Amino acid sequence: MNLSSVIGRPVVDLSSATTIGRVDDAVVDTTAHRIVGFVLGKVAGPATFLPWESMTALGADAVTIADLHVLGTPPGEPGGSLTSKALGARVLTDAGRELAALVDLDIDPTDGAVTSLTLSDRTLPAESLLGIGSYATVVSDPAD
Amino acid sequence: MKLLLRGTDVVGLPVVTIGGDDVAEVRDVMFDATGGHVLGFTLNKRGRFSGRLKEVLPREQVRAVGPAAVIVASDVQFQPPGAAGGGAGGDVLDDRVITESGVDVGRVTDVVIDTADGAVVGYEVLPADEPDQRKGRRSYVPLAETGAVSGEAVIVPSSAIDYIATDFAGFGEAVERYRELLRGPT
Repeated sequence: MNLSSVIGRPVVDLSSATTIGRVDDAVVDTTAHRIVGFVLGKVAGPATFLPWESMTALGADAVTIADLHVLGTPPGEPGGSLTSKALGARVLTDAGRELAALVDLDIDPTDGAVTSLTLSDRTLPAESLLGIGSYATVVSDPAD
Repeated sequence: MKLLLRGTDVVGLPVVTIGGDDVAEVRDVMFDATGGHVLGFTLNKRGRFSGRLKEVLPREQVRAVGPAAVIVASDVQFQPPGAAGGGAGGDVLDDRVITESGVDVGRVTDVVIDTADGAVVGYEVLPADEPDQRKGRRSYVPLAETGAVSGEAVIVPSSAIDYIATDFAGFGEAVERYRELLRGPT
């Protein structure tokens, strides 16, 4: 599943059957290579973070949650890196080379593991991901 | 992969952590007293209109120097100036390059650095006598491991003449062949 397709999905509260917000961003643990949770937008109240474990389902058209109590506050650094700005942005290797732009992250919808990185000219394994920062996404050098 | 960069290629590069944040940019390259090695980099803050950083980035803290960025660890500690040693020494810009047999090759306009170990492997020179159609173009002179350097001139072996490259792309190979010749059976 592409991460970019999850961004913008509505979040539905199953207890009240209402849309309580939408997915604005994903938080990635760049050491464990998995999605920690989602930052929601258009939500009433200060709790805007949906931890991956608290999600009921990541469906094709909506993300569902049991009720509003599963939401929390976002973890600060180094809990994870926000990724939505990294999509379409610069990719550097740990050798200081610039690669093609990051198009998407491929994620496993069952456990949130990042399975691969899609660049505009190639695909890299998830293990090559080293960091996602304000300037660039850093990967280990593919040596070619 | 052997990657050569000119000093001016490195100036202005962003300093980026493994975590992907840009923490500074390269203001200038610091060389040791003989001009043979890179000691580190002086830094500017990132962003337009931002000034210089007092701290410097010593070479030991650099993970890689590439064509797009200088990569450092996420917990990089910039050092106060002076900690890296050297500093002002080793200014060879505008020095004359003279061979042991007394031929004036030209004037140094830049240094060529091997990014793998920070060694200076050659000089970019403005040739002393060139036909008009090549006026203003640069040539690249490989540097032997030994050779006298002063603020006035750089001495290279006479054999270096044969390994002068006129384009930067082919210079890495010329350096390799030249060093092989110097190491070779004599």
